[in-house]
This record gives sequence, structure tokens and C-alpha cells, in this order.
Amino acid sequence: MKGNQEVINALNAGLTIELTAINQYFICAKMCKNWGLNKLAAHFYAESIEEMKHAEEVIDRILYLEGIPEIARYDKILVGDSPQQQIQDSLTLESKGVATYNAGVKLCLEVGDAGSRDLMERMVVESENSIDWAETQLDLIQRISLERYLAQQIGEAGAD
Amino acid sequence: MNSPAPIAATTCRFALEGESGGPLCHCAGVSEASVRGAIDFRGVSTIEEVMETTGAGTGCRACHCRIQRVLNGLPAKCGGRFDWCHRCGCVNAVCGCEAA
Repeated sequence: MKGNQEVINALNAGLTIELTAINQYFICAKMCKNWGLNKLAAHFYAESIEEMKHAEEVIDRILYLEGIPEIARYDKILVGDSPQQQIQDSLTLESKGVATYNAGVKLCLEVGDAGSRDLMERMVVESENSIDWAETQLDLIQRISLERYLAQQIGEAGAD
Repeated sequence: MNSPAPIAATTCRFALEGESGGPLCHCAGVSEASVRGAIDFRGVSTIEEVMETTGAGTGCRACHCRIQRVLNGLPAKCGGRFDWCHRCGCVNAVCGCEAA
């Protein structure tokens, strides 16, 4: 089905954020594992896989609308040199995702593309959940101190 | 004598220091200037010739619309609400850089 080009552009903007997030979360997971922060590593790893599933959905939708997925375009991949910075960078990226998809939802309402709107609305909710997680972690660090927070993140070494 | 007006700061909350420009073709990393140079100085006039001469557009093909715009004498960026800002990584609908 031939889709609205501006909706395809909006989906591609979302795809860029998803592709960036896959890589950003993946390197965070690996760095946290190297630091021995296994619980935090497992969280970032799961987020990376989730972003890949989001990217898959967005690519499928773009192809359905007969657009071309921008699979080579990435935003800057922020690689924090501490767990706290990594959480802060996750918050930045997810906030950008919410803002982008919300603008896309508004466009979809204007042009009457309910299918793309439904997808983007779900992506907004997913990103908001990730924002909530990041804000909670940063709040916890403030409340119980970084050292105590990191002690809670050691956990047990997994397979990731 | 009035002092010169200060340069407006970037207002976009997602803007990254020192980031600007960005490639027209992300796969091959080819800039808009390179494509424009091929058109102006090497006489290319089709997307196929741009691909052959500069390498732009030989990957995922998502930039073909941007190459076509340059071939038509227009800027590569369409300027739409969901056009991409390389400085902050946001679409125009979200970006505050242009307003700065």
C-alpha cells in the first residue's frame, strides 16, 4: 500500500532512534558485564534486544507503506564511561524517542494513518517505560548513594 | 557604540556540541557537496551516474530521493517536519536548532 511520504519519513526517524538504541544498549550491557555489574548488564542487554524488535516492526511498516527503510542512518551512539552516565544517556535517547514518536502520532492523526499511529503510540509507551526505569535508577542513586546502588547491581553472572 | 549582538545559542535540548553537517548518503558516507561537485564539474545528470561517480546511493537506496533533489537543483534536505537534523539527531518537528 502506497503510504504518505511524510509518515514514512517519521517512521524512518523512529527507526534511526531504534537502530541507535540497539547499539548503545548493547555496548552498555557489555561494559557493565565487564565491570561485574551483572544485573545492570542484563537490563541493558534485554533493552537492546527489545529495541531490535521495535526496529523490526518499524521496518515492516515502512515496507508495507512502500517506503525505503533508512537502515544506515544512526544518531550519535553515546557510550558512557560510568554506569551512572550510561543510565543518563539512556534517558536522553529515550526522551528523544518519545518526542519523535509523539510528533509522528500527531502527523498520523492529520493524514488519517491509523495503523502507523497505533505503532508509534505503542513505541511512545515503551520508551516512557524505559524513561521511568532510568529516572528511578538515578533517583535511587541520589537516595542510597552510588556505592550502595552499584552493590545492588552486582547480582549473579549470567550468560549474556 | 553598541556591542555586536551575541550569537544565539543552540536551543535544542538534544543538540550535541560540535555536531553539524552530516552525509547525504549514510551507507557510503558521501556528502551533499560531493554529489553537487559531480553534477557541476563532471557532468553527471542521473542517479545512476551519481552512484557510479561518487558511490552515493549504492547501499540501502534510502538517499535516492535526496540525490534526485540535488539533481533537480534543490537542497538535499526537503525541509519537511520529519527531515533529519544532523546536529541534534532530531527531526525538524522536535529540533530546536533551526530556531536558534
